[in-house]
Amino acid sequence: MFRNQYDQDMLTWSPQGRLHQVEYAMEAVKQGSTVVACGNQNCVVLAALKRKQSKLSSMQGKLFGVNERVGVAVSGLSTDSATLVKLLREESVREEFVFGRVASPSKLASLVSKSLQISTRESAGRPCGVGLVIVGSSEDTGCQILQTCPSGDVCQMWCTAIGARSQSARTHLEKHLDELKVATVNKVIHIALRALSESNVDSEELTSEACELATVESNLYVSKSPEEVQVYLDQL
Amino acid sequence: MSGIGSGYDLSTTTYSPDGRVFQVEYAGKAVDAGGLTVGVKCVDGVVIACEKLVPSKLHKPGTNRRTRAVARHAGVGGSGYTPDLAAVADRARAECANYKSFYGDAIPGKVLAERMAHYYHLFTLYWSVRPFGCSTLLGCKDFDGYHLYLVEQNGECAKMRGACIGKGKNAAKTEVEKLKLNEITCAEAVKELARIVYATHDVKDKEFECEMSWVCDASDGEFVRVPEDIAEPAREAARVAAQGDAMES
Amino acid sequence: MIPRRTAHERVIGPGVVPHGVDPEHDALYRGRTARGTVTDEVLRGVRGRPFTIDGKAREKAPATRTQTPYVTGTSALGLKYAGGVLLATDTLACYGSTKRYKSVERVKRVNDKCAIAFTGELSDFAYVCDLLEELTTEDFCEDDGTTRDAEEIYQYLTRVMYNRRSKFDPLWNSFVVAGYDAKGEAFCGTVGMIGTHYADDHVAAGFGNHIARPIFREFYKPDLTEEEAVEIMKSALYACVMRDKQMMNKFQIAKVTKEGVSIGEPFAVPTEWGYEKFYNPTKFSPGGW
Repeated sequence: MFRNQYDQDMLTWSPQGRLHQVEYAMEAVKQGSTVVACGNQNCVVLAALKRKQSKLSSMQGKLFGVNERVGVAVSGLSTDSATLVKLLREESVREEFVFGRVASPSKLASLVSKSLQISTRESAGRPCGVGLVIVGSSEDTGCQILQTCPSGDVCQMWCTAIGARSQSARTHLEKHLDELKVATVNKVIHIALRALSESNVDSEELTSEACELATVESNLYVSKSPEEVQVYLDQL
Repeated sequence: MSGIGSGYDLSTTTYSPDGRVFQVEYAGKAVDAGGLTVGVKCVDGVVIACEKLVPSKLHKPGTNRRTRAVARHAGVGGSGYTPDLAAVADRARAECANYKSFYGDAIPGKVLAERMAHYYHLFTLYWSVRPFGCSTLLGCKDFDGYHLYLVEQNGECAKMRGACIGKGKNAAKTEVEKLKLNEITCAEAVKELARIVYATHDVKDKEFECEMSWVCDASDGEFVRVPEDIAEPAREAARVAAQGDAMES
Repeated sequence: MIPRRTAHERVIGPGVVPHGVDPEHDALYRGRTARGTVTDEVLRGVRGRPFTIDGKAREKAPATRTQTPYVTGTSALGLKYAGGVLLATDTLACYGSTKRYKSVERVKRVNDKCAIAFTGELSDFAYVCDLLEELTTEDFCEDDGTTRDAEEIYQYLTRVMYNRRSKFDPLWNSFVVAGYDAKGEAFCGTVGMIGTHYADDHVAAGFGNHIARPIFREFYKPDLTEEEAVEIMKSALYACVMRDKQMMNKFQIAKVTKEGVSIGEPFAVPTEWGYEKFYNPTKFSPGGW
């Protein structure tokens, strides 16, 4: 990546019609550790590799519950993600207050996308250097996986992986795409954990300490405890 | 592009010595890089078709749509930078709702197109914002029938009978010009547009979806996606025709 | 609250009072605006001031808003049955006590899953309809496979009503909301003028709450057929029209089923005015003569 005169701020289009600053913000997503999401109509699984700042610190959480049936995984600048998670939770509470129903994942995703897009078009601030994977379910649509990126793009996915070395996880998921569409929760968890280990540093063993897991099933978002994660890891 | 690198092309508030605003033109490049959008006004409605590139197998088909309804009677489809497209569509929705609450009636196509054009234009005026990297086609039904408008990223707006934006727009335009726009019906136009989208698709971009929406008599004047039982045969025929062409050449 | 004199001067335009026409009012304005001292010179300019109500009277009295409804509908009834929910109203909107507008549809289809009926101020209901219209248009545009169900509309209305009452500017309505909830079960609820709300197997808003609900309580059972439900509804409407002077013998029954909303044609019920008490209203009253 070379410096050029068009990459100094996100308000400048390059002669090829690109926004370099926004593209650089997308690179920031790859600085974060891996997040995997996969599933089908009936259940979705979120899995993430956690990191810690130093040996003395605790692990940095990557999965956040938004409401009783929607959760979000983040990768990238963790401080930026805090703002977005807050935004999601606030909107969710508002929706619940006004309509008595928890917000659907697609509504939440389009809200985040709006906010991200605005930060790429105005001189104040900078694009958020964080990618989100929003998972959840609603009665009408079943389970959904939505992925956002710093440009404000939002995509509905069968399954996805973002963050550092996520390509190998994506390849793994792509291989098991058909299997996933009919898989049970346990099976989906196994596939997700395997995909995650593909992206792990130097194919190190996954540990329950470094691995975070959550599921959405029967309209309920459940974050798994380290003990539960260990059980799943042992099954691999 | 004589201005490249000369420093006159870094801000929307800078003219080049020969009187051009390069930043707006560069934003136009983003439009040209996006998948094709083509729309025609038929005798009984308006059809808009998009070539939606699918980046990977992991993306769900039929989602992440590029044509969106902005009111019951109006919708947009566009090419270019997709987050911008969403922002513009959102604004169009707000304009429709605002007009409705103020005047108590659905917004006419001309007014909506001009308001959208104003919005686009606004973002070409100040250093603190950037021009949008997308152009839109607006299909609309109002008190005097169906209309198709082209609203461009520089704030220009024109009423059209047929229009193409995005990648391969010139090739698509020659195809659209061949259509008999005075007598074509929406049902026929769906087939023709699918054919054009498949024919102009660049084989270098792997996967794509042909997304089609319309506002017409058959949809009761509502902007909706073309029903699958009409859209899918049209796509299938276009797919076969495109493969045939590829074999010949 | 008397509009003041105006001068229609060409320079200033209609409805604007120039300086000098009304010394009393000029005095009121002189030297006391937030933007600085207003002198006679400024007032003498061509700007004039807009037509307004009496400034002094305004200062004396606190701000007041809608305190009396003008054109109103009375009772609205809702009843669940085995295959859906029924809504019933008459088609009258009264101007005070005058039976003024006799063909008013007091039921609104919100979407395929929900319909509402109202009591109270007609114009406030029109406003609420606009709000719901915006909501459903948003749903239509989003096109994400979800639509707002009856329970959400019900909750939304409670929020709107409570919000307005908290501004001391209530919408003068109560509603019956009928339809289906997210789980696909029939839903029937009522929302009051200040945001009070409850859901039940049968509900009534307005005066009908006192007249129709005893009938509903007596005859309701969860496995009512549509015909039975319509019969109960008709007897409830009969009871209402005999006792409620704001009610008229022309009704509409709407039903919400899995297939959607259908609002029925207006009809009348046979009435009986030959009761002895109608001939001699005081006959059985203690102390009557």
